[in-house]
Amino acid sequence: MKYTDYYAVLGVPRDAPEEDIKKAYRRLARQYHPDVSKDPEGERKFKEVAEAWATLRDPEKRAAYDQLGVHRAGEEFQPPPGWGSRHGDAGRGGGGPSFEDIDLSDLFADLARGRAAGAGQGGGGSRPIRGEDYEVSAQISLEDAFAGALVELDLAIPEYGADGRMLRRSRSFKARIPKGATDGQRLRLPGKGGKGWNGGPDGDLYLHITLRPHPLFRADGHDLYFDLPVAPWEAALGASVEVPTLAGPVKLRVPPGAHAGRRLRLAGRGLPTPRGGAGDLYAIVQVAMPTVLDAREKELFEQLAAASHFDPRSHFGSTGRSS
Amino acid sequence: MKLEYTEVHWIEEQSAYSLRELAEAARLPEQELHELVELGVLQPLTPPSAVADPAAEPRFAAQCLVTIRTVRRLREDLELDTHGVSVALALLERIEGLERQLRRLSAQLPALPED
Repeated sequence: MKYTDYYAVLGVPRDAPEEDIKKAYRRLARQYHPDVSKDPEGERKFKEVAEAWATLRDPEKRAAYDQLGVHRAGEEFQPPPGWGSRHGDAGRGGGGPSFEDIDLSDLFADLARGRAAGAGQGGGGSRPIRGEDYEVSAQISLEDAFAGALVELDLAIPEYGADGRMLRRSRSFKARIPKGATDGQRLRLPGKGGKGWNGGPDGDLYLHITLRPHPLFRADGHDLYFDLPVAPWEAALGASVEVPTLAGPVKLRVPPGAHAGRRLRLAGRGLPTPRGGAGDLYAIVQVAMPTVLDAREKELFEQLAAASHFDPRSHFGSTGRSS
Repeated sequence: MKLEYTEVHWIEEQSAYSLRELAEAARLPEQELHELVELGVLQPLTPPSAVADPAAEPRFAAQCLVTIRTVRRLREDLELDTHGVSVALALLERIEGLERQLRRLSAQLPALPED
């Protein structure tokens, strides 16, 4: 088992009074709590902080933690023999305990559970308890959201072995993300969370879907947007152009006089919705300019400038006229 | 390590829950959920004023489970009381709304040319 220095995590000295530990926890929780913070590392940092707080806030657990001695953070160590039995860890099956596949936090959660079971004399201890729910994020591509995808999830979920000891078991399973998932969607995987106790049902796993940014398409719910660059003469005269969609290229008619920023809708070519419909795909017209004009092009533009009465700045009044 | 296939449920598509079923799924006492309903944190699918039968049990969307999970996190991790939680949730909802709007606008805006 790897050692975690809970005092260092909270940034307090080992002899800090309870009040200082509480203040340190509150300050860090405000900073890193995933509901409050936008720090991409917030969730991981908060987990560490919460784990330290859960142990140090409880005088009994804090005393047990202090007995583990001082180690370097991340150092492999074993709790001293008999550790835990003095702290209400009653009624455990025989056999040498293994501390290899658990975290320090599991050890303390286990300690609390042992204590509760011991105090309850079987009364509270045998009540069926539903397993814990977990939430994980899965990032999928737009192509996956369009066609549906099989994602592989690897989770380390704490479980209780036959002897009542806690162990962290790696579980890997495949979940089919159905067509129609989009950014921010949550899916529920029943019974894939923590194991229930005393015949209680297993918890659920919540899957939080996010979309990986796509080089061409931008998603808004089930609608998709992309930029459609057109030449000035295509914008003026109209054109039939080939445009990409998630199902392959299609022909799109650009109407004559299409101004920049105009949205051309391709109905039903967005992401499918769970109920069998589909969002729309929008092409946003952008008038692209050739950066270099050859002599002939330049001549034609000059002729156009001389012949045209078009004034794009008429609404400025007389101040905007080109002279 | 074994590989298993699993079924996936859309949260929106699941049937509505009664308050008792919600309490069971969220592992919170029903009384606490009543409080959340009174504060407007949890809203029944049909507003009480529009329910014809006053004895009918109010039903809640499955999405409420996500809200309740947030309530639990805020209360346990940040030690907020129910009133504090309801204020924090209202602010979180506003932020989510603004972020949705921002996402929508940036999806619709043409990408800026690289100069």
